[in-house]
Amino acid sequence: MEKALKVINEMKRTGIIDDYAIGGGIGTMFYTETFHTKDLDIFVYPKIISGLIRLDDISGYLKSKGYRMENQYFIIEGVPVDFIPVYDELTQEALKKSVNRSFGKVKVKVFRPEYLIAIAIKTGRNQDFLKVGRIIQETSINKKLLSGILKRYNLKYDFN
Amino acid sequence: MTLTKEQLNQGWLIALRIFKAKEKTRKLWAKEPIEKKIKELIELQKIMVTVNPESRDNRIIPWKI
Repeated sequence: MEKALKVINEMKRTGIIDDYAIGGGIGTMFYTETFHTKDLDIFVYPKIISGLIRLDDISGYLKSKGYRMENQYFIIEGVPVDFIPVYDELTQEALKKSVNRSFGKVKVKVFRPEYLIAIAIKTGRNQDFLKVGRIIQETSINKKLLSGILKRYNLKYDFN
Repeated sequence: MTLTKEQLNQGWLIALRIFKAKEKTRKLWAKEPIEKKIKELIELQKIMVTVNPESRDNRIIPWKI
């Protein structure tokens, strides 16, 4: 995992991606107990060329480094990695407000737990609600920040 | 950097394709043998203590299952 994250940091350093943050299951695990997840979700600011989103640089770079694609993800140092462009105002804001964390000796950017909760509520699958429960129970969250996000994006969830 | 509404919509179409593919992949992973799943869980526990070293509990060593 550490090696995969180094590759992603290198992609940012060399301008292949403008910025990134870890979300999804691994992002959630920065704040909770372990649960089963296999793929690493990397939310990115994609390149914009002539007004259009382009992810070609990401795949071109990774293929040039010998990493192969399987289904929708790249296998980077043995880890399945999904590169997901920010796709709405909420994910865009989550990326802007992401925080620096350490993974072993590697510095990475991760979504704040409040944004992981909001994204999970918006996505709305059973597995997403399980993540919400875990984050609420297992880490301290900024309730004022969370309620502000939920209000702005018109999201509702019964936390009781 | 801020994406426009139109660019976010483009992002959504790409993300939607990824999410659908992820669902299919998850169903395939769910059919893998239990031995493989436990091995993966053990690897995941190792990742966990790297992410949150304070979570390591020496009385419980899941990767020795």
